Amino acid sequence: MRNKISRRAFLENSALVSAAIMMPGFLRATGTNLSAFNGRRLIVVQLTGGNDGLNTVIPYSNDLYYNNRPDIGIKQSEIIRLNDDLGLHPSLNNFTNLWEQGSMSILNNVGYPNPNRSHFRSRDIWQSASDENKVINTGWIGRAFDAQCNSGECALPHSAIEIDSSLSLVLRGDKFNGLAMDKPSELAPGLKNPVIKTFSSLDLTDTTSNHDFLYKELVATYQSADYIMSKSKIYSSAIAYPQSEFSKGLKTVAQLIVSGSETKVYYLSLPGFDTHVSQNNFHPKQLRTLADGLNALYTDLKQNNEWNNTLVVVYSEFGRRVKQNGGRGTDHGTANNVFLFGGNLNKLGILNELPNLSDLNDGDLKHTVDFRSVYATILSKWLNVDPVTVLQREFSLLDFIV
Amino acid sequence: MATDKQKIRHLFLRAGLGFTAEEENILEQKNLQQHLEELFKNSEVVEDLDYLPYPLKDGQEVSNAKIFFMIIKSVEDTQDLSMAWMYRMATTKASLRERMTMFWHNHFSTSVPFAYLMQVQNNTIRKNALGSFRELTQAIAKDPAMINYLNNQQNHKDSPNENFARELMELFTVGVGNYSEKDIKESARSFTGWTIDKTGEYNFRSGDHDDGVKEFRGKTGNFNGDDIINMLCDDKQTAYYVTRKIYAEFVNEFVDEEKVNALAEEFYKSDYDIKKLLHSIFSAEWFYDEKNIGSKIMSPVELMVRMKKLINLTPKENLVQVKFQRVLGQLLLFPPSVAGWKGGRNWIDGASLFLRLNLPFAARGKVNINANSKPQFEETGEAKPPQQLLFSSDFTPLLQFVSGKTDDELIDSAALLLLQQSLAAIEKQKLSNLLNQSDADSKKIDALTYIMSSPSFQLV
Repeated sequence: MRNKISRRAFLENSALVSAAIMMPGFLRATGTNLSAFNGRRLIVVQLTGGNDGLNTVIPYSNDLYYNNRPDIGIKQSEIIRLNDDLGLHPSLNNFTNLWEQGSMSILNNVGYPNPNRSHFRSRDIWQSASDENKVINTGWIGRAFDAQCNSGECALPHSAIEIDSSLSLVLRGDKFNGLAMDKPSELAPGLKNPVIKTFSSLDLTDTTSNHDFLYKELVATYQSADYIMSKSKIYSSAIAYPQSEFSKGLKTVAQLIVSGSETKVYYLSLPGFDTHVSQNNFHPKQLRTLADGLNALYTDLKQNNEWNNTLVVVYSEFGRRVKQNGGRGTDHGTANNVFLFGGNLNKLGILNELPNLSDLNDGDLKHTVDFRSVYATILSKWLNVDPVTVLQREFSLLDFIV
Repeated sequence: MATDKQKIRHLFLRAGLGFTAEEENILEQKNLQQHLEELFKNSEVVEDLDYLPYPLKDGQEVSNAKIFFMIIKSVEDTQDLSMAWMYRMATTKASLRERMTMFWHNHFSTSVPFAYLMQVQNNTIRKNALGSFRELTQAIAKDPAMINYLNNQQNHKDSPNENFARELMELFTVGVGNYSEKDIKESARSFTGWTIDKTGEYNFRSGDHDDGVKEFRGKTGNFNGDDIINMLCDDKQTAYYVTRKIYAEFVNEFVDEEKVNALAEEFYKSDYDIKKLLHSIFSAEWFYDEKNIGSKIMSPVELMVRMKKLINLTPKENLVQVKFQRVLGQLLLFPPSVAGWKGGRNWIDGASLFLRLNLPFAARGKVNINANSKPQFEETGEAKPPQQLLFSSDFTPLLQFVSGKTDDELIDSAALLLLQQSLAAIEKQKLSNLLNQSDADSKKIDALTYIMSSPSFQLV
């Protein structure tokens, strides 16, 4: 809540702003992307390992679901019904809040042609938005920020933050790189490092030399770290978040948002979805971590009037096979559902046709929506960036946002 | 003009993997030419990396249960193997061979969930690292890890899988734009039946091999995989593509096309003699041009091996080093994709740069750096919080190079020892001011630390 802002933190923050005004490079660097992105922000959640979409959004009216999953199918009586055909896994009961408040929609059958069943490869395909048979070494969000660079000046790294120790492909562009951090306090050793500090205002301009490039990166990172550090002192969430690492990450995100950080994109991963064996011992817990965390985030942002400016996308690198395997688990599959959350969704509920369990491709669901249509829609309608520049060709736009 | 000492260091930092304080001390007892010949001579030895035992009993065939078990354990085993390889790099005399093994590991980039097969491939590469590129490519095409990685097990007579055929041309030999889709199709047919048996060895299944006539790059015949590789190597474009990559890696990422063309011509004429090509590069006068010295951003592995040699930087446990490598973006044996690590400026982002610059302070226990490695797919439990990365180190051997210096000379002499380019006036001024604030008895070690923490140290 805004009234939680301490006077001291507020003053420190104002001091930073005036310092920024006196630094032309600083202003130039951040100014480029602010206007383009309309003050909206995007949070992407990657369910690492391949989430079993059919046990997440369950086609409970379909006998084929139960025939294929005699041991791991979720009982009809336990399912949270969304409509006559689909229902949520009981561990997602905290999503009902979002569903009822009109802040949630589900897109079925999202994937790409010739799906790859390797975790690594499929993750890279989703992150880089490449075709199945092409390797692209930049991420789609990285390229969205590349497109904002103006005569060599790009947005500062904290414009796109990944809650992790290392930066994923998705936030890497040719010119722009996002900032990875587990939490703001992990930036402290860098900010306190006397050598980094002493070089933090150096203005070297020969970008053709690696020497000057490194110093330039140092200055940009220092500015971003300093900015995030100052923002992190402004708002401390009063909402009780669950204890999971994932929720701690979401709390960090919410605190930065409410503190007014100009960050446009946040990226988080929730691991543990590679459920080959004894799936029902592990999967429900992961789903609970997801739903409980996102519900806390929703409550926090809603209370602070920041929910309407926020769009959350939840995806996984692939779904799992329709038929359970011999170990009461599921193996790597293909098309999957994507969750969308936000206060500004244009279309709510189930957005498209059910997964078709009778028309499979070698035991796997066929995709009907290319994942890059989701990206194109977000780029075009939410982030105000030309999707063709970023995705390198045209994909049809969807109507979950306007 | 670079001094002789700088040139010798340049050779060691690019062709080898750095040098210890002890080696630095006797650097000038031999001239550049002698060092160069010794570097090649020391790398004539081929010593396999025998870290992991063969996982099956002699003659035993692998079962599905065993495969499952191996996959579960593979990440941990491969991480340990990766660390063993880095330790080898920091301690071996055959540094050129290890350096080239790393180069080809990135070229024939492979990552499979079978640690032992990764070790087999690593040894195949090591054996051929300074030999013939043609033979190396042929060996890789029959390498079980590669066959598994690029799905040649699924490349059947009646349903060809083009994955290996495509990467062979796109990434390993002629490069993008120098082949047609038909070339890929016909080449995939030629590699049908090249598979792995249940003991983990290469196996040619003649019944699954398409022995019909193929049309490949204007030639017609009953080709097999070896023929395809031979025809690709008979194309000068392959010599050019590989030479250009070696030049960018060892000389300068801003490539001098004229020099690459001349080298490629020579490489082609020698029938792909890798050792000869490298010898030509490292003995060329232009290799030691000022624009080539201190211009390259060290890879994370180069950085860590150099730190091990300079200050005996040692992680508290393997996992610390693994996490560190993951955050810096290069854990050997876990390349990001079949295209390998991009290198150069791609090593640098905010998190990795801060970590690199914090490392010398962390080595002295002056700061705590915490990190976690990206969640692995195999884990089904809850993610763990970041943990402290603890290292030990010993600066003593380096102190001899700054002993007897006055306070004003310390930054200069530390820079002279540790940097390949001279300090800019502004860098020197800022670091000198900083050193003025140090306690009298820590000024020497601080000077070394500051130089190692400055961005310039990242350049070799």
